[in-house]
Amino acid sequence: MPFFSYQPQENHVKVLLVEDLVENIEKAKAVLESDGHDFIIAVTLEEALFALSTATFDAMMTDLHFPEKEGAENGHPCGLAVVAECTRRAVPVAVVSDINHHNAAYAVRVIGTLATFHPKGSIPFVMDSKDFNRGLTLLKEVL
Amino acid sequence: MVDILKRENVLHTVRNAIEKTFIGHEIIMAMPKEAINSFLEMLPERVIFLGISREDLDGEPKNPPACILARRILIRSLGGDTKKYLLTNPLRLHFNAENFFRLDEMEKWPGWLVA
Repeated sequence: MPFFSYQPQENHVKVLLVEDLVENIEKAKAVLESDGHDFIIAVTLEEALFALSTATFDAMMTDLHFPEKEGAENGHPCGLAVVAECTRRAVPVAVVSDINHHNAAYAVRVIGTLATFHPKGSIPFVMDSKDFNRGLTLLKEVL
Repeated sequence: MVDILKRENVLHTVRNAIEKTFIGHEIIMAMPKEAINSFLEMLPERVIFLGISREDLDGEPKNPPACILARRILIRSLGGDTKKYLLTNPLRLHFNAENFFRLDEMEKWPGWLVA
């Protein structure tokens, strides 16, 4: 599938946020709203892929572990599937997770490999805390 | 009066009702798969969701149709403010377009997205 090209406005972007926990959604919303961005929220892999396939986003910010579908458990790293789809569609993406960096070697390896295929050449990966400010800052650097 | 409308007539009937009630307001109609993109382009203050919900018919969605996924995503993204959206399943409610919108509770909106 060919890559698409995105040309977002520098200071105002349309973001797809993938995050399943309410407290983290509120944190992320506060960061995105204060920086003036429009956003859509998905809480499952199914919703994220539906949104990606039917709408045009300038960027994506995703959690690492969340459910595949409504009602499913959230222990699987579905964020990796989201990152892979963003790579295929050339959508700039950042991962924001509270996973301990000591336990994240598998994710670092997968995301790092996908970044080599991503047209932007970089996929920011924030670990150890849900620092959406940092995630957004790094994401804007690759836009 | 109870009207049970065929699905293909529902959007036309609803649109007519909205146009008669809110003269001059812009109404954009989008299929469920276009709903998120239309929302991002328009940023409407109100979204009306139509369509048959499979969970209403079967009680348990297995492969949620586009209308359910779009509805969930947009309601959440709107913040769940009940003043910001109307949600309906016209066929199940024995829909009557003229009285459905509870006009006394509505404010003036700059735009509508009907998906």
